[in-house]
Amino acid sequence: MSAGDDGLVPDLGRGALTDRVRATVLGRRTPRAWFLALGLATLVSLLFLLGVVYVLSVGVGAFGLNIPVAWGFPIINTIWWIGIAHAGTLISAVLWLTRQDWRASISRSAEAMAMFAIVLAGSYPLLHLGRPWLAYYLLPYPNLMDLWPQWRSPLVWDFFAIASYLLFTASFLYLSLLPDLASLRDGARRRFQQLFYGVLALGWRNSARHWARYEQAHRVLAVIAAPIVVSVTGTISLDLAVSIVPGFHFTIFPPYFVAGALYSGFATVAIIAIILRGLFGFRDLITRAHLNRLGIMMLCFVLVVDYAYLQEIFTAFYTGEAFYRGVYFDRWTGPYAPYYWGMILCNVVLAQGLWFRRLRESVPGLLSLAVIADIGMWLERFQIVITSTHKDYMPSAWDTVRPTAWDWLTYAGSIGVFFVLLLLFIRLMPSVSMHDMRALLHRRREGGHG
Amino acid sequence: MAERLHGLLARFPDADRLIAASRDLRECGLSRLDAYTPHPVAGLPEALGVRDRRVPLTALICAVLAGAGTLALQVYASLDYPFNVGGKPVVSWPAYMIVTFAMSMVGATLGALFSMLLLNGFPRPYHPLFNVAEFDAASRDGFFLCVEAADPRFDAERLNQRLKQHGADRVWEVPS
Repeated sequence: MSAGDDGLVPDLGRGALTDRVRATVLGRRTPRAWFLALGLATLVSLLFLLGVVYVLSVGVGAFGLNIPVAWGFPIINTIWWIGIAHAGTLISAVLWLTRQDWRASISRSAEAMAMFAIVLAGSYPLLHLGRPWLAYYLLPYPNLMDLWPQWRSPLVWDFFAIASYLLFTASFLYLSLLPDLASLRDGARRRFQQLFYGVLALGWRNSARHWARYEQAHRVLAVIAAPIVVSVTGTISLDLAVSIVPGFHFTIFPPYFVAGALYSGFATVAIIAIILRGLFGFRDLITRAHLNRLGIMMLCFVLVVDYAYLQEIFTAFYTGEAFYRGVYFDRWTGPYAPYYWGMILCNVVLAQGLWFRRLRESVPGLLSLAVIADIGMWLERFQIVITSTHKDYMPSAWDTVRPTAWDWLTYAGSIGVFFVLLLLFIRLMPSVSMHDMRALLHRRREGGHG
Repeated sequence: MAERLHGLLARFPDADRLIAASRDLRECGLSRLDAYTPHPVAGLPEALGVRDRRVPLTALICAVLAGAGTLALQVYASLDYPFNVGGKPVVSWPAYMIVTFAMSMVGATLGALFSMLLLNGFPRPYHPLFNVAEFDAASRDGFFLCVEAADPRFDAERLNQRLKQHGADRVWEVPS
């Protein structure tokens, strides 16, 4: 196959490619847009700090929570963030296993996205505990109180699922960064940079023995990633599906959650890819062909999500159970109906724009579809968590909650924190995997089997 | 050659010539060889006679140990403090599978990562090869082969010729 005929491989040599990516990290000049973006994101992230401090000082009552709606925003945001993380794992591992060459130039930013999204996903349940300083009660450790975690509880499963996902993602990110850190060390000319990247590279010398073990470790992690992508959000969905609440107790929940997770995750990868194109001029590394592929992945998963919506409605009416039907009538006409119809507008109506190649390949087109996807998925998590619990099997307990200003501030702030972390990452670390791209160029150009 | 030699380092223009040279030197009986490439090259470990399956093996062992340990812990905890929820069995093993699975994944992850790092001898801040300024190119676009002087069949003169015959652009003596 000749090089670049599908627009997925840049027209650069190995050396030129390495220099291009290294310059974004080692270069003295920082794009002005980066400073602007970081400043804005930092301001927004201060809202998160404010929200956390306030909630810790007055308690979780600051959020719009009550009984029966005990979960509210913190759990909505956890599910939303962890879902975004999943696409990062899918791109860097599952698409690697299936030899999708187009993943090479976006895998690094997707992995970083996954890492930061998990950190935020994990921070919300801690905040929601009310007494976060007692979070270690979830760990099985020998204690004088003779207490053990309740292993049959989905909340304990949840803790282990998110914690293991965090460890996995951090390991995977560092593993794939290691050869690139060595590359930065070798290209650094300033003492501080040589020391910083030299220490992080641990003495990587690109030896064939290093690479052989690297590839083995990478393969092991990629194989683990496939079940992890399915299981983490699946486990979180069990928090809901295992409980006897109308609107939660559906067997379709795990696949439904995973499809939605991947839909919003690919949307976020698309947003980040567009940011990288604009910020560092990576238009030849992340081409319109890449945006097109990301759009196709989004389309594929949103169709599964739409199918799940239909299936849920079918199940609710097919059971013939008044409470299940009631949940649906309430979603359509009740106090939260605007959220439901907003979700339908985003995920069912507007998402159909993904069918059009011209929209997928245009930067403003895909960017708006991606933002719509993220909003739509957030609304979906909102209607799952809130509308189901506010009218459960006990009419005497029915109650309606309204999100408070602290809910919105903390949510908006967490998006700011995400972008602060991401912007710092892309300035300090190579945002495109250099060794992956070199291997891809080798494979495509020289007919090698790298 | 006043100072002690770590070995000879040769730079090749492409991966194919590097593989050919590695195979040839190995067939001549040299064993202390290593190649340096900007990305993994298929066929190169075989040409160098590298056969090491310890990373996936460690990952598997760690996964099994972590999974079995976690399951045992859950069973032990349930027996140590029996707690009746809705009349379900005290040892509800199907409910324990999710945490068991998550922890075996953690075992495999950490096993693979740390066995890779330790078997590669990391962290290793200093290595004689870093004394050759051009060796920086190994992480950019250079293909290198190093023959260590510690090899019993090491003969700098003949090796130099041999490497050049194989198309090496340049050969350096690496001080130790």
